[in-house]
Amino acid sequence: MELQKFYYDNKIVKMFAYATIFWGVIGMLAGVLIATQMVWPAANFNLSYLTFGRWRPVHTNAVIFAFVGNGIFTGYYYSLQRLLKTGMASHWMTRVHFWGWQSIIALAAISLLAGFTSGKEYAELEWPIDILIALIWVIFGWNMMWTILKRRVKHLYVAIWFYIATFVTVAVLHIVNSIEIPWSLFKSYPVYAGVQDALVQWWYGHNAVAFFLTTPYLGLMYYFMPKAANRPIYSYKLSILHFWALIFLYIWAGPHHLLYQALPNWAQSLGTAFSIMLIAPSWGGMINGLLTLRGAWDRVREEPVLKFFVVAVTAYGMATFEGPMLSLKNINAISHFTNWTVAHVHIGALGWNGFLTFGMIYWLFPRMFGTKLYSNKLANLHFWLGTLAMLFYSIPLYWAGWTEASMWKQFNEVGDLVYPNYLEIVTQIMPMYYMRLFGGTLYFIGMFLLVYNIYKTVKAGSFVAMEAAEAPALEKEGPRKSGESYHRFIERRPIQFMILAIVAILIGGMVEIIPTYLIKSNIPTIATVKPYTPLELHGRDIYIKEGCYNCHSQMIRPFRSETERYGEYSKAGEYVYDHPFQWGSKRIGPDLWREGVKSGPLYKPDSWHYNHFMDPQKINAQSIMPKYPWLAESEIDIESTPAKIRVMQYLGVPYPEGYDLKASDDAKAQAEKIAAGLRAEGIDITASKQVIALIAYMQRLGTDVGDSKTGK
Amino acid sequence: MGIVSRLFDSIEGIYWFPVVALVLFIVFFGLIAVHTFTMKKSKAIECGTLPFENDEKYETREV
Repeated sequence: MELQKFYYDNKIVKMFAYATIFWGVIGMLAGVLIATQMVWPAANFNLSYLTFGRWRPVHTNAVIFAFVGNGIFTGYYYSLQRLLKTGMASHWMTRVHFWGWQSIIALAAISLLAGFTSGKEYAELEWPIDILIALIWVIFGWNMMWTILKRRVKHLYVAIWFYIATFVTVAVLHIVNSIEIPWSLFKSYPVYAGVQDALVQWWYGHNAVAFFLTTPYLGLMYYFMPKAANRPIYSYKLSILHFWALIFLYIWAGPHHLLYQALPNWAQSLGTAFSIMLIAPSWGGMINGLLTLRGAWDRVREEPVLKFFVVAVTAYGMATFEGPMLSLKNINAISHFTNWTVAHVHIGALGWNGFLTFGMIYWLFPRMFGTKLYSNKLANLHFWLGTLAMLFYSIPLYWAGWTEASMWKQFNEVGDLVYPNYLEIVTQIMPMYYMRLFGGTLYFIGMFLLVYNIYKTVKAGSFVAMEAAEAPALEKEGPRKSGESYHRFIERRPIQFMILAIVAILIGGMVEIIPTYLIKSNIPTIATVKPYTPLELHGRDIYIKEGCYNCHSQMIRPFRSETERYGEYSKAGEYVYDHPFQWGSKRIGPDLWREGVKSGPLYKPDSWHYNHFMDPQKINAQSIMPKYPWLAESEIDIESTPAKIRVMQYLGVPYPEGYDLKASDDAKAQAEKIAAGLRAEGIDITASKQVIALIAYMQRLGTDVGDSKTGK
Repeated sequence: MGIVSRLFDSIEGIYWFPVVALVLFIVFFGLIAVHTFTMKKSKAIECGTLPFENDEKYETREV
C-alpha cells in the first residue's frame, strides 16, 4: 500500500514541556513559601497577597493544573501523534489549547492572590475562569477525537483509552461542580449548599485526583515506560482489565472523604468498599509497569529515566494502597483532618506525578533536539535528591499526623482532655514542620538541576519542529466482522469507545449524584437555623476570601474527643444556607463550628477576635496563624449587599421579599453595634471595616443549634 | 449518631442504586475478563507493540 507522508508537531510538545518546567518551579516555590509560613508565620510580611490562606490554593492549583496539567499535555501530544501515526488534526486548536491553558493558570494565580476564590478546595477558581476552562477543555478534547478519527492505525493503544476517559470525565466533573450563580463580575455562590455542596465537591475532589492526576499519567506510563525500557508493556491483557476496572471503580470512592460526616452509613460503606476494590486495578497497573522492566533491571542502574519511572510507579502503588486503607472508617477516624493525609497526597504528587514527569522530560528533550542528555550524572543527582526529599517530607508528616490524632483524642483518668489547649498540639509537631520544609526545599533544588540539565541539552541539540514520518493510509473499516469480539470492534471505533467510557464513569457518578439532587428534601429541618444576617454574609465572604478553610474545619464529628474540645457535634440541617460549605479538610488550627456558642469551650468575646486577627502571637506566642492587619483597614463592600441577597434568595435562602433593599441598612446597624462594643473596650475601629463583618460571622458560627449540654 | 444520619434512607428504592450498579459492574467486568482471557496471544503482542515504530528495534521478553 502507498505510503503517505505526514508530520509530527513537536513544537506543541516543546511548548507544553517548557510550560511544565516553568510552572513546576513556580508551584514548588509556592509550596516552599507556605511550608516556611508554617514555621515562620511572619513570612507573609503582613501583606494580604502573601498570606498562607491565599498561597495554599495557588500552590495546589499550580502543581496540579499547571505543572501536572502541562505535563499531561506534553506527553499526550507527543504520544498521541505517534500512536495514531498522524499529525494533530487542527494546528490552531493546539495553539488555542496551549495559550488558553496558560492564560487560565495566570488568571488563576492572579485571582487567587487577589482573594477571588469559590472556597471549594481544588475548584477555587471563580466563574469567568470556570467558563474558560470548560471552553479550552472542549477544544483540547475535540482536537483529540478529531485526530483519532483521522488516524492511520486501526486499533487504539491503551494509552489513548486513558486519554479519552480523562477528557470525558474531567469535563463532567468540572461542569457539575462549577454550577454557580454570579453576584458580581468576579464572584459567585454555588447552587449547592451544605451537605449537598460537600457531596458534589468531594465527588469532584476525589475524581480530580483520579482523572487528572492518575488516568492521564497511566496513559503516559503505558507509552513512555515501554519506550524508555525499549520493551513492550508486560501484559497488554492486564492493561485492558486495568483500564475498565479502574475507570468504573474510581468514580465511586468519593464518599470516603466524608466519613463520620453527613452521609448515611450505606453510602459511607459503599465508598469504603469501592476504595478497597480499587487496590486490584491500581496494583494491576503498577505491576504491569514494573514488570515491563523484567529482564532489563540492570539498565535501571545506568539510566536515570528508568530510575525516575520505577520510583514513580512504586509511589503510585504505595499511594493507591494507602488510600483505600485511609478510607476504612477506623483508620479515617484517626487520619482525617491531620497531616497524615498531607503526607499521603504528597507521596502521590511528588513520587507518582513528579517523578513520572521528570523521567518523561529527561527522555523527551534529547529526542526532540536530536542529541544526548547533557548530563546523566546531574539527572542521577536529581533523582537521589528528589527521593531523599520525599522521605524528608513524608516521614515527619506521618509522624505529625499520628501525634496530632493521639493528642486530640487523649483523656486523663477523670475523663478530661489531656491537651485541651490546641496550641500544645501545634507546638508538639513544629519539629515535623521544619523537616517538611527541609524536604520540600530539597525537592525544589532538584528542580533546578533539571532546568540546568535541560537548558544545556537544548543548547547542544537542534530542534526539529515538524518531524516527518510515513505510514500507509488506514483502510476503511466496515461494521463488526463475524468472529470479531465486541471489544476488538470498539477498539477501532473511538466514538463508541468514548460513549462506553462515559457510561462506565456515569454509573458510579449517578449513584452518588442523584441522591445529592434529592437530598434537599431529605435533610432534617432545624427550625432554629436561620439565614445569615447581611453582615454575617459579608463576614463569611471575607472568611472565604482569606482562605480560612485551608487551616480550620467547620465540622465536628460525633466523637467524644471532638465534642469535649469543640462542643455539640455538627448536624446536617445546620448547613442548609451555606453556599459554599466550609467544612475544610485539615486542622492546622482548631475547628471553628461552635466558635460563637457562648456556653461552648471555644467562645471568645469580640475584642479577643479583633486582637487575635491583628496579632495572634500577642495572644499566644506559639500561634502559627498569620496577622491580618489589612482587615482593620479594608472596607466592607456594602454596595454588593443587595446583589448577594438576591442571589441567595434565588438559591432558596428564605430572606423576606424585598429584603435586598433593606439589607445594607441592617448590615450597617449590626456593624455599628459591634464597633461600639469594641470602642468601649478601647479599640479604635470604625464600623465599616472588614474585621467587623468577620467578627460578626465568627460569633454566629454554630449558634443556631447551640449546646445540648446547657440548652443555650 | 446525629450527622451520620439516615439522610438518604427516606428516598424510595435508594438501596437498589448500589446493588444495580454492582451487578452492572460484575457483568461488565466479567465480559471484559472473558474477552481478555480469550484474546489471541498474537493479537495481544501486536497491540502491546503499538508504541514502537515499524522500523524501531525493541527487545522482546524472550531476549
